[in-house]
Amino acid sequence: MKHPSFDPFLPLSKEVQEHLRHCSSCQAMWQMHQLLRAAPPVPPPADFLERFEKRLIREKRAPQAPRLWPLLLLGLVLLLIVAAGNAVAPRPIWVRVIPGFMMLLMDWGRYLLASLHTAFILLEFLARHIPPLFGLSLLSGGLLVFGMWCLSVRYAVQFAWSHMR
Amino acid sequence: MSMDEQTLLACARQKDDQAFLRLVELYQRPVYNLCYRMLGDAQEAEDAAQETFLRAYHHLDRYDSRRSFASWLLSIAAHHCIDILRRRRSLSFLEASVEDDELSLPPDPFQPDPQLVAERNEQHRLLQRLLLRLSPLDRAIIILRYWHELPEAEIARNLNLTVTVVKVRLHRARRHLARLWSQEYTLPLTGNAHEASLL
Ligand SMILES: [Zn+2]
Repeated sequence: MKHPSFDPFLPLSKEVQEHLRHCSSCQAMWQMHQLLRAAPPVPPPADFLERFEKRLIREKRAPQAPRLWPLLLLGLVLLLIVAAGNAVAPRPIWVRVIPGFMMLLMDWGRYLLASLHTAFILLEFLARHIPPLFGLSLLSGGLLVFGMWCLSVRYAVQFAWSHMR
Repeated sequence: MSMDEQTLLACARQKDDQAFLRLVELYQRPVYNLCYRMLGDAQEAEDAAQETFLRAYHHLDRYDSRRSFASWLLSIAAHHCIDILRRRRSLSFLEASVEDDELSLPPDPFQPDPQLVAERNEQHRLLQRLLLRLSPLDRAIIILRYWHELPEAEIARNLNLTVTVVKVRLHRARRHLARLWSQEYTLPLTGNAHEASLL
């Protein structure tokens, strides 16, 4: 049977009324429409407004106060350290800090290159001794486990967060 | 929107908290009902309704005063509840599903027959349970259309859909609810002779 499409919010045409009399599926839908229309709204708890007001006050008080002063304090402490260093050292402090920092960066670069080199040697060894299909399945399995681990961490954090609030 | 509400909104925009609280008082019923119907749990519904008003409070400057304020609030609430439901679904393997609350409805002053009242209440309780089986989006569309009487175009705008999509989903959801009802309940859909005679 072909069901006519109609908007139950509008007055029903003669054909639709006739169809409804004989089609149990459309009749059930029409009755569902009536039931939905008759369903009353669920009222909020009596102290909803009171509790909202409390929450609003709490929310407004919370984020403003402890923002600026820790930053100011930190800045002041840093300034004091730099000033003290300058007063004690024969050369200005940045003259010594910048070369030290550059050396550190170069060291990091060297470590990175060395690790890459090791990784390549390892890969070459693996490629020579492990059949490609087995290696591929090993790799995809490893990736899958890693992905699942990432997901589980994400959900655990989300879960903890939703329960903390 | 009445003159009074216009004034309240204007005051609330000037950061007059008392005016905003008055607006909350005026709109707590529709917002709470939407959240309850979406989430099916009284505590979660209250949290979601409060969150809706807080968001409205912080983003009052984004409200376009040519639109209805109620519709704007309902759209915030609907998006928030859809988010909650999607998060709940993605977390469902960690968390036991939320049990459905006993729906407590206000007494109907126009219905003197206690047996009919009981039957009606039972129908509405079952309806709420079926509602929770719809997808979050379909649920929002049904609730906005039936309980809040928003026109399809307004629903489409609130949920960033086209009017055709809203129409199709509305139709499909109604049919789906009717089918679920006949599969799972023995209680007839129509409770009284008056409605049956409409056919
Ligand atoms: Zn039909």
